[in-house]
Amino acid sequence: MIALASGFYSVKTVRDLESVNKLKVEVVRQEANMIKLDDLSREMPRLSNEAVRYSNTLPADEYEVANFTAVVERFAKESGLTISNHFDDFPKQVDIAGKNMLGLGMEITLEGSFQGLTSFFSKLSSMQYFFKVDKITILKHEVKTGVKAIVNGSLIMGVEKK
Amino acid sequence: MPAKPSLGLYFNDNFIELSQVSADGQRLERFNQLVLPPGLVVNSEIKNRGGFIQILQLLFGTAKPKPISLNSDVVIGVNDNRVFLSEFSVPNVPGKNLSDAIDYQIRSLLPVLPSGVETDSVILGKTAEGLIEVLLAAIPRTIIENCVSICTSMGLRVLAVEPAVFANIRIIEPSQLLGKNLLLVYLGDSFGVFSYVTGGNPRFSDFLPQSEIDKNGDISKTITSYVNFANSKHTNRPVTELLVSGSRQDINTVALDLKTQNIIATKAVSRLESTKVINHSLLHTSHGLSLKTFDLQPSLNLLPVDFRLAIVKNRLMHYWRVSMDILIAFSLVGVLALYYVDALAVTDKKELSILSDRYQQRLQLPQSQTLIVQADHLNQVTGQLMTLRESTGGEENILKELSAVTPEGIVLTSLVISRNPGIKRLYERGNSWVITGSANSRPLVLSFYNDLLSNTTFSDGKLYFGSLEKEAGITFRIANMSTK
Repeated sequence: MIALASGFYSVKTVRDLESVNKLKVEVVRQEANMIKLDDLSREMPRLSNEAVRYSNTLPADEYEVANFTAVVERFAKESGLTISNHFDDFPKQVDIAGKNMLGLGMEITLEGSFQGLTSFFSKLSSMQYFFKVDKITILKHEVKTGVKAIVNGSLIMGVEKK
Repeated sequence: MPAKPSLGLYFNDNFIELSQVSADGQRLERFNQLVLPPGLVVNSEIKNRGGFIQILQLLFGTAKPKPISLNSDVVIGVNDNRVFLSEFSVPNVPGKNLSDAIDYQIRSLLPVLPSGVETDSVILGKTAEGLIEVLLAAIPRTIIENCVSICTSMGLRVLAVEPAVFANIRIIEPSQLLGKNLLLVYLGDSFGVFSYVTGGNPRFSDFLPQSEIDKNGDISKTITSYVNFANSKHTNRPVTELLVSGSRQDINTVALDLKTQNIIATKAVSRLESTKVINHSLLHTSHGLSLKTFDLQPSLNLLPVDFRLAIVKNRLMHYWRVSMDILIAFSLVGVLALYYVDALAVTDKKELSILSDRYQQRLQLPQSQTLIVQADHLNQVTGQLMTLRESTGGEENILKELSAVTPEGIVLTSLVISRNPGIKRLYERGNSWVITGSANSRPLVLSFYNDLLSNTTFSDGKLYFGSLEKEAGITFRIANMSTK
């Protein structure tokens, strides 16, 4: 009788303790989530603003693409370069470090000095938009001074339409 | 293992007595003696079992030995009138042969003994001729079985049964016995026991009721006859001393009387220390029985083997029961502990479940879900931005580096650099690139080439000259890919 009771309670206790331990782990995880939730509810207004700001760096329509074009043209002008742009008709999936993102293919043709070209790329690197350069071709003018550069790349776009 | 004192129980036709000594065997702890109704015990045989048990219960009730449950071992002394003592000698042969010789001698004596006796023997010493002297004791089995049966029915455990003379000797201070041949006169109320003792070992012992003593004339004449008898039997061990012992209150007077009759008599001194227990002379037979378990040398025990085995069996059963009880107790404690732990676990489980449900409900709230969706979106955007920052920009570094390493005398005519799959940035190693140019001299090209290789972007480039013959106005191509 005692042996039976002992066996019964051994099995039952082990099972109950196992389920209590699992529940404890679950509750600890949930408590951590609650803390995160509290943090989120406190920080979300600020983070949402930042998210909006980040979203603005990814053009989502023609208007914002036009803004990007204006910025690039301004950079070329400030760098003493002449510029002509050519966009693809439609955005396509672009591989960014193994992740697929939406990008609008573009070819920028620049003419001017080598230093101007360097300055242009510096500005391109620090602008708010993300332009992924896939190929640069620089040729020395044979008939006049300076260089001609053809830059192929993609303007990374946002997926959401605002 | 230290000796454990036992209860000493002795009775004859007139009285019954019970003793208990202290744990160290030094002191009398409890004692009582009761007079037996006439006819209850006749010639040391219990005639009325029920009556005897009642007397025994009364004796235990009045003597009040320390808890019987803690000390239920008892040694029973059988009155010497029912004990047959006989001496014999066997050749001194070694080891088991001696034991066989003694057994043989005992078997040869059995026909002359009353039927149905229990025997035991003890070696007394050696004769002058070198023979082994053995004392044989025999007691009717019915007497032993009656005693043991009654004691067992009272919950006592009989350890030994021995002739009373051994207890009478054991209670005496050993120095009074050592190396002496003496006649021990044990005097009780209305009886006397006359034992011839050499070196503390009895060689014969006779129990005489007072009426028999009176028939002989008086105590001194009886003693004289026993001394003469002992001297005739043991001519080389004559009695040199008379030791008066016993439970009779007037043994001092008796000893004194004997001295006045020119008989050298000494009063026996008890091994036990003086005690506050009343109604005793410290020389009772039952005292000596209580001390039996302190015997260092083998001594007689006429408890039949089957009873001894029963004792061993009972003891083993007792240990087994105690072990089982302990095991059961531990098991019960274990079960209770398990029950307690399980009850706690169940309570914890309930509380944790309630807490978990509460958290889950909070997570399911619309505002929480909105926050979670927003957080997911934010994470996604942040992740994208981090990836984009790692994968874009920095192209100006290529031009700056080229500008830095290109010396006077070298004109670069073209640069084509294109991103290969899996490369994060355009200026990192692993992309495909081609540089063409012209130079004034070959060493200038080599110097430019060396400087170019030190840059990570161009470290995997190879140099190709346009024309090997010319030393000036030469063209060259540096690339990490094959070109036409």
